Amino acid sequence: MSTIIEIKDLTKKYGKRTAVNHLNLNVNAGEIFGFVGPNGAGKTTTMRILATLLRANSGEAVIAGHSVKKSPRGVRGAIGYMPDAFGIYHDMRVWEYLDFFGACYQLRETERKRLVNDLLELVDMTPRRDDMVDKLSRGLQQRLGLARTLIHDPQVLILDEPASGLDPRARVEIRELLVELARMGKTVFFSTHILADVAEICTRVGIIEGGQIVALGTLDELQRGLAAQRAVHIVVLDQAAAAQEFLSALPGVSGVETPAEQTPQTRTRLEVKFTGDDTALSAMLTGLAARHVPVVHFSEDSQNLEDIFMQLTKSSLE
Amino acid sequence: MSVVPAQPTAPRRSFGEWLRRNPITLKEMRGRMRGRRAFVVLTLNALLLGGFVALLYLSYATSSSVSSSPRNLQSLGKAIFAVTVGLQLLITCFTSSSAAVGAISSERERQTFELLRTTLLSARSLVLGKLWAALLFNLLLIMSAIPVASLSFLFGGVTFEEIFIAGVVLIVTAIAFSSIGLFFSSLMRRTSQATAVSTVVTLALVIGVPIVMFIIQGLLSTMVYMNSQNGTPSVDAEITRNVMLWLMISISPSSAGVATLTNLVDSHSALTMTFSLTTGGPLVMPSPWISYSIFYLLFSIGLILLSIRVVKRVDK
Repeated sequence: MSTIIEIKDLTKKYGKRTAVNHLNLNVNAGEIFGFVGPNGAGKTTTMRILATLLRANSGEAVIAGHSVKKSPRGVRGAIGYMPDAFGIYHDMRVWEYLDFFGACYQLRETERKRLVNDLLELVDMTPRRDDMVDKLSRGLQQRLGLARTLIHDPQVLILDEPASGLDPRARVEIRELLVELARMGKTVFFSTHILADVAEICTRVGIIEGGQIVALGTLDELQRGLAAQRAVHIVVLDQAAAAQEFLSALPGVSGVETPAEQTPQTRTRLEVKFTGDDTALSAMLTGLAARHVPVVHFSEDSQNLEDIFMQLTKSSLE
Repeated sequence: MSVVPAQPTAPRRSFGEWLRRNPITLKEMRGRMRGRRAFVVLTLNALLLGGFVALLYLSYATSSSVSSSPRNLQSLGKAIFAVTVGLQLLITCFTSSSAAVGAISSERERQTFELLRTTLLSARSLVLGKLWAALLFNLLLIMSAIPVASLSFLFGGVTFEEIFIAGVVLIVTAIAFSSIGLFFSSLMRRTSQATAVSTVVTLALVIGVPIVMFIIQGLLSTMVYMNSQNGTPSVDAEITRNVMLWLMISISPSSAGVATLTNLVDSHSALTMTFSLTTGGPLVMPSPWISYSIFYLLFSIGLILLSIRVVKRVDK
C-alpha cells in the first residue's frame, strides 16, 4: 500500500504552547485512519495544517504527492475537508449548496448536475434536495457536509469529528458512509472522541497526546503492544488439580491462580497468566481436551480501545 | 456513485464570462434577491427620490411668481435631475459600503470561510465575486432611480454631458464605497466592527471632508492675503490654495458633485474648471468629476488588492 499522507517532524506552536510536537505519521492509501486523543492533544491543529488553513512552524506534510507548504492548491484539490464546526448558508437549498461548492472546485455545470444527484443518492438525501439547508437537522447537515467534501472526487477525506453531536442512529449512518467511501477507494483520515466508532471501522489508529503520537497501529497491534501478559479464564467441572498441573508446565505460562471464591461450587475457575501467541493458546485448550478435562468456559481478557486510550493518555488532573 | 475521473482544468474564460460565472457572485445575488429585503430597499429608494421630486415640483407649481416659460421649465428639469442624482449619490455612498461590509466577515462569523478557503476558489475570485455582487445590487438601485430622474426630460434642460457625468460619478461611487466596505470586512473578524468603521469613513468622506474644506478654505484665503505684498497676493500662494481646494473637492462625493454641477451651470464646461487668480491669469484644472473618478478608481484598486492579500493570508 502506498503512503498518501506523510507527516514529517511537524511542529506547531502557539506562543509558548506547543500544540503539535515533531509529529511523524504516515497514512496509507485506502485506509480508514482513526486519529484519537484527549482534548487539546493537537488533532484539530494537525488537521488544519493538512487542510492548508494553518502554517506549521517546522516540518512538512505531503498529501497525494503535494506539499502543504509548496503546493497548497494541489493539496486542496486532493482533499475533502470537513471541520469540527462548520456553518451553513441560510439562503440555499440542498442541491444549490452542493452545486455552489462544485463550482468553487471549478467543475463544469453539466458535470455538477450529475454529481449533485449522485451525491444526494449516496448520502440518502435525494428527497430533501429542495429543502433549505438551515432547516435540516444536525445529522442531515453532517451528511450534507460529507457530501460537500466529495463533490470534486478527492482522494483523501480529512474529517474532524464527523460524528460530533449526532444521535446513535445518525452516528451509525455516518460510520456506514465512511466504510462505503473507503470501499470506493478513498482514504479517510478522521478524528473522533467516540472510541466505539474507531474500533468498529478503522484500519489503523493513531493516538495523539501532547502533540505527539503515543501509539500507532491496528487495534490488535495496540492491544498486543500494551498487554505484556495475556489473561486466560478457564472454568472446569472436574480435575481442577490436573488441569492446574498441566497448565503450569506449559511454556509461556507464568502463573495459574485459583480464585478463592468459586461460584457455583461445582465448577472451578482458573486464571492463567500467559505470554504465548495464538497457536500456543489454541494448544492449551487442545491439551486440556486431550487429558479429558471437562472445560465449560475458555476465554481471554482483551483490552478494548477505551482501556488502551486510558492507559496511554494521562488524565487532565495529572 | 460512479467514480468520476479527475476533472481537467477549467477552460480559460474572458473576464466578463468569469465574472458572470463566479460562483460567489451567483450565490450572493441569489441569496440577496431571494428574500423581501432587496425589493423593500428598491421600493423605498424609488419612493424617497419620488417624494423629493414631488416636493420640488409642488413648490414650483404653487409658486405664483414663477412663470411657465420654457426657460423656467428647463430650470425645473435641471433641478429635478440634480436633486435625483444628488440624493442617489448620497444613498449610493451608504448602500454600497453596507452591501459589501459583511462580505468576508460574515463568512468568518458563519464559519463558512474555511470551507471556501479549502476549495480551489482563489482569494482573488472570492474578493472580486463579493465585490461584483455588491456592485450589481447597487447598480440595480441606481437603475431604480432612472424613472424618477427621467421625469426631468419632460421639462428639458438636461444635457447629454450631465447625464454621462452623473452616470460615471454614480458608478465610480458605487465601486469606491463597495471597496471600502469590502476592505474593512476582510480586515475585521466581526461584521459589526466592520460596519462601524466603514460608516465612520463614509461619513467622514461625505460630510467631514466638506466641513474641513470649508474651514480650511477660510484659513487659506486669510493666509494668502496676509502674506500679500501691496494688497496683491502672490501667484504661488493663490495657486497652492486653489489646488488644495480642488483636491479636497475631488475627495468628497458631495462636494465633487456640487462643484461639478456649479461648474457646468456657470461655465458650461464638462471637462475643465477654471480658477480666476487675482493677478488676472486663469488656473485651469480638470473638472472635479474627472479627478474624483480617477482618485476613487485608483483608491478602489488599492483597497481591492489589499483585501485579496488579507483574505489570502494563511493563519500562523
